[in-house]
Amino acid sequence: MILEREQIQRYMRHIIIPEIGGPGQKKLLDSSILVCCEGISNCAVLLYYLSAMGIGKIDCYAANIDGIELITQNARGLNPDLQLRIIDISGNQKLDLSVDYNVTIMFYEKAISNPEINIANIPLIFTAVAGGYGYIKTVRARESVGQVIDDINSLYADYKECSVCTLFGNAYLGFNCTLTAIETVKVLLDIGSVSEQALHYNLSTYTFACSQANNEKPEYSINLESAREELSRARILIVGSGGLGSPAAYALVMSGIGKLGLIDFDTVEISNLNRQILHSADTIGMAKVRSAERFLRTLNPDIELCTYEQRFSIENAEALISDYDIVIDGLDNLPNRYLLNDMCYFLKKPLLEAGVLRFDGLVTTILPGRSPCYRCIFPEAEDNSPVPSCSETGVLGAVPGIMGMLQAIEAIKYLTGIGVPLVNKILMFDAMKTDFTLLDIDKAVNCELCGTNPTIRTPKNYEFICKNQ
Amino acid sequence: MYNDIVLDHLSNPRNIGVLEFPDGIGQTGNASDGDKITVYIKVKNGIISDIKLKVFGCGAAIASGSMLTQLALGKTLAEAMRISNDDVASALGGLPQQKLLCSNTAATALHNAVKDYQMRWKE
Repeated sequence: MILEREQIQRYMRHIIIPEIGGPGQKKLLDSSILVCCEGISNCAVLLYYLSAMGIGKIDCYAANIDGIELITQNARGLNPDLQLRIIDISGNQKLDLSVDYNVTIMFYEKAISNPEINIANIPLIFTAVAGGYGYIKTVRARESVGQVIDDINSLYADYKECSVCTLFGNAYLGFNCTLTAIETVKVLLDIGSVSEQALHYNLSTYTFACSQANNEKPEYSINLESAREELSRARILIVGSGGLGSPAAYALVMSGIGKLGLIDFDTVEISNLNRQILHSADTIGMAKVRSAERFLRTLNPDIELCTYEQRFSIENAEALISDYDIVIDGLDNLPNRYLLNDMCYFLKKPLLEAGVLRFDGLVTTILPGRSPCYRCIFPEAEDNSPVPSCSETGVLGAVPGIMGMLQAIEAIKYLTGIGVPLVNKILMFDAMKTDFTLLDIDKAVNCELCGTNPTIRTPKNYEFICKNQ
Repeated sequence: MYNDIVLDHLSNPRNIGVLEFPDGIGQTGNASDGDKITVYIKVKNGIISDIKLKVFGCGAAIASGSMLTQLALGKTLAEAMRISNDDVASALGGLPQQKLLCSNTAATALHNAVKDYQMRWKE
């Protein structure tokens, strides 16, 4: 066998994707990455996703290594075979140039003061975060490095610090880290189209472009203190603590929300660890909500965490949802997605919806009665045709990461009223092309739930039967 | 959940790809079921001289497709038509019960490829 039994189980969701397969996963396991960053705590999510997706060896040079024990422990928890070295370069230590890396990641949080990039290896992935603005570009020729440095410096030159953006800081960083992890895998496997044309994005307005976006300082009449207050009072329920729930919970707990509810009846399995960053090899067999709680408490011991080790169902849905202001969908099956959609509609709770498959994801925000519901977008199939639930489907580990981070961003946008939310809009992500598409959507007049003549008047159970069985 | 033969085939499937000028193409499954298998064959003197496989699906679907290509290569068309989905499962040393019906359909795809060949070359 080209991979060990345990590796096959661990990376099953990658191996069954034709573009990756066993040979692709082996390549990831054999690869070594260099990450150069300012503070490791701000690129912890990058290290987690690289580790989760099976990168064999990571060297990380950082000027600030606060939190090193916890980050190392969490990254190794996702993959005990990971060789991770975090090297403190605050004392201007020279980089060790004798090591050959398959990919080098340059992660910036401020303008580049010393443009001497002393890295011999290519390819290089340059990425930068400035509030809601972000930048990513893969460089395969050393001559283009100068242009990239100019790009990044002009990003920071135009960027005006906006105090309300600090509320989103962790979610924005998480998004960029996750996108960078995907880019790394694509470069390593030589799949899809990598960002050789720079991608500039703005998460406040969801604009994604190849050239620098209009970098104006947005005008907000919102008081920072009251927005922060709003967040600290917010009660958010995440249904499912897997691929979507993990990053969403991570970003929200880091962002200082008041109360987080997590419901999941599953236990941690080895095949979860390619994407579910809250869990760990040490918690295999443990209830997912316990495992998630263990992780989240280390991020923020003060947060009010409520965990429900139950299957989300028609019996408990109403009582659960009633206690919260916002619901995040992190479910893995369609029948429960319809149930959750219907419940949130009847209880008038905002539902932050996302879904993923292989390299694709989508995310939208449903405000009951005001924007299209899940059924408007995805009506139940007439013939009750089976969904791929009797078969595992593949997903690249960091793709749900992107979607979960966006759900967290949407939650903060909704609570604070800052930025453009995905109401009446759907954001689609194609990781192979690094392509984000924002679509306008309308309510369906014939929607069974929220149309002009609704046929669903009370929540009901949904079941799909596999016709082959 | 899977034995070592299955794990070996799903992590390193044999004969993956597409034949540019196939003599026959056969499919099973559809995108909404999650599993979709396409088998391409080349036929020389009544014998399957080359075979390629394209599969979207779970681990069991990939492993059974891979095993099928090994069983079918070098066989006569009549022998190929006699390879059953059960034969594929036994060659793999068994598959989990819930995978037997949904995901073990590669032999059917091969039969469809042979029929496609016979249709095309009837005249």
